[in-house]
Amino acid sequence: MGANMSKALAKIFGTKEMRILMLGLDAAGKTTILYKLKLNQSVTTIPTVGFNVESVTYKNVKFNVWDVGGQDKIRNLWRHYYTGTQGLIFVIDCQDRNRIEEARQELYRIISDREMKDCLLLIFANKQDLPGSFTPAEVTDILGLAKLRERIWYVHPSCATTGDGLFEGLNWLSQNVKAIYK
Amino acid sequence: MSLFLAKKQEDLNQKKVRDLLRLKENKKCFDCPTKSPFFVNTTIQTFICARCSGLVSREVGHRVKAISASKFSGAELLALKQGGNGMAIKIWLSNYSTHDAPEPESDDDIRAFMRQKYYENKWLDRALLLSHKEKVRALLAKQFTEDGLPIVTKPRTKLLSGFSRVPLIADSEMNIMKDDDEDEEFGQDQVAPPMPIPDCVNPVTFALPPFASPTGRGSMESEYSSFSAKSSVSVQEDYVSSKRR
Repeated sequence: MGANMSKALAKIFGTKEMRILMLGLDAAGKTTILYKLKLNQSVTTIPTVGFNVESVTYKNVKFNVWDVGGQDKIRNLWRHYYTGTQGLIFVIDCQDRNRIEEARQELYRIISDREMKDCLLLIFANKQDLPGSFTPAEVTDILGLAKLRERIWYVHPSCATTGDGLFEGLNWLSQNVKAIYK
Repeated sequence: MSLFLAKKQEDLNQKKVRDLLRLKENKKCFDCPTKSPFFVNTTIQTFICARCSGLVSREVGHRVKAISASKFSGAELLALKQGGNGMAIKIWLSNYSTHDAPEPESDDDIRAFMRQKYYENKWLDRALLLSHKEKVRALLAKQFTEDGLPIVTKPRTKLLSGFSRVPLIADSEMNIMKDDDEDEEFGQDQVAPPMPIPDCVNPVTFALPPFASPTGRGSMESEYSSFSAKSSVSVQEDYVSSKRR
């Protein structure tokens, strides 16, 4: 009885936990986003070999964010992080026009995996501060997101170095997590 | 099966990148005095350390790859062979001396150094940069299709004649790089004798490219003389081992 009560209270007042996986091509800005969220400062990062994990609490939701290195040879290790992931943050380098097709292929490889079939998809159209970068609408178009079935997705512009747009993305995740995980 | 071959080619390319890392000129980071770099800047084909890899990719906008975590295509490997820190010093630090600016130590020093080097082009040899780019582009066009796939239908002799136009440094570097499987990809085994040589012949004559005439760059030659001496040893060893087999 007491246990039930405390569970109910935790549901109302307590913090939710959410496991987030952050992927994307190398030099897209994943590590920079992670530490901007965690420390609120722009750090100079080196290419990640392996992964970084930090928990960020925002609006009563504790996000456990896994940031896995995106260099081509270690991309096939991504699938080992899929299990139990509730939200996927896919980071796109909007200035890298040559590799957006590569990014599209990697994205579809991830979301076609059985383990990822009902996770939320948040796409950060990163590096919006740089000239000549894709707009979020262009990114949506190129990635062909409109054709996705049975997937809750959202594209948000961001700039990891200034932190613009990052928490808006997390906000969307926290609002939509209820939709699938009651 | 093709997947297996691709994997094999990948491993081979990575091994060759690691071999390049063993060259004396590539043992120090291009942007700071750190020893044993293990990142590659694929934009200007240099070898750099972990710290500079962050600074370069973030602040200059060059593309950086970690050697252990990246795949290297044949085209990238070829460009890297032509480039490397030795070539990059000639291009980006052509008239640099430590009097102009001391070797950078702290992060801020490196930032300032990079700004002078890549933005203000303080020590840039523009003519050499352009000619080097053109040379690499021509080589790539000769060996790879537009999709980056190697052209395999060309007879080997044609490739050889193409290679013989390459200036001295590039080829002496390749000689050092020579290993058993080298010729599978690029067909540049012109230093290997076509038939067994008698023991009395000095192998040094084989190690030197046939076009090793002075190219008007005296300083380069002296710099690379130690390499060619080294290469003769390695070629000799190759030769001995191949004979044994």
